[in-house]
Amino acid sequence: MHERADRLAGNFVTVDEDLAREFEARLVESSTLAFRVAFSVLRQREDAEDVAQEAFAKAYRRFRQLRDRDRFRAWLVRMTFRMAIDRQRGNRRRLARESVEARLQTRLADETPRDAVMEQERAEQLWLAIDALPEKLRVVLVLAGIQGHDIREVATLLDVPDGTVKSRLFLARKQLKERLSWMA
Amino acid sequence: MDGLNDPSLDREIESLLAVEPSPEFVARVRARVANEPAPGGWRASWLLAIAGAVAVVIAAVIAWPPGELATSADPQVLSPSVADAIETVTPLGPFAPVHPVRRPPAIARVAVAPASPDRVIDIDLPEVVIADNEVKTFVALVASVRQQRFDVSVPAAPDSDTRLDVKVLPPVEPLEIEPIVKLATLQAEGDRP
Repeated sequence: MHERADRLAGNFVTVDEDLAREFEARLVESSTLAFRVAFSVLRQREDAEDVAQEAFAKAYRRFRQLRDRDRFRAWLVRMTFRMAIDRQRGNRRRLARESVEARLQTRLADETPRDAVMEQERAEQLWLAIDALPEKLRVVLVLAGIQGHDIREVATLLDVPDGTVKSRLFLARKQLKERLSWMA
Repeated sequence: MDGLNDPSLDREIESLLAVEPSPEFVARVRARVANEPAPGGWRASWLLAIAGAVAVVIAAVIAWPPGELATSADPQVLSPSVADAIETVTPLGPFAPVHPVRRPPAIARVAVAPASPDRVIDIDLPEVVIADNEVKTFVALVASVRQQRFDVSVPAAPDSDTRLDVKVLPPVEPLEIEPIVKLATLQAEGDRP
């Protein structure tokens, strides 16, 4: 009887250990993705990390249903994007662009100040144009711009057909170009 | 925004999104997750609880005593519910006080003894709803029979040689009824209304 109970307990421990190992693997491979999705909305490093961290915590709670890699990443992307949108709405006034500026400043340290200012302005305009896109177009554009995702990968992440991604990407680019032309 | 084609736009967007999280980010997520309960832990505990409850119910059903079943082939053995009722009810007399009757159990257990004494068929019958006054009457009848206050013996068949006394009926005078035609004639003459 005790042996059986020990075996049963051992099985649970093994299952828990397996889950922990799998989650660690997902965390390592998807942490940057989640962070960038959050950053694309919030454009503030600390906020993006907070949101991504919270999304991982939620994913961990539901990890038994999210053990499949594709399903996990798709769920994580959608959850992170949704949470980031919520956070953005909550602290819209605090929409700082310091991280963009800091990144541009470090990257453009050896460039001329004039070039740096121009590039910063252009980045600002691009972010504004991306922000103005409808959410469905925006998330497709962002995911296509992260880690070189192709159409199929974006479709898998959003759980929509490839054709839907293509058409949304086309519309997103078109609207983006129109806005950027208008801003220029 | 001159010369803004898709590849250049994509490159710009990729450049904007090429931001790395801080080196401590993954460690912070690990620490955050460590404070969370085990994934699906509640589900495992619920499964264990349900399995335990089912095991207890099965054990109770198996270990439950089958109860005192009438296994005798004696035809006088009554069903438990009726015998139970007899104990609590006094026979009905003209002014006998009526005691409360215990209702029969939800499931009436009946032991049927077939021809072979080794074999007893145990059948669970559904509850049969019988009116209280019918139960009382039946119980009173059984009690009366047992106390020999009620003769249920069948009278002996009459002898074929015995002659029955048949009284002679008085003669009946024949009735005279007027024919209908005559009545109609009288009505026409105005003698009858």
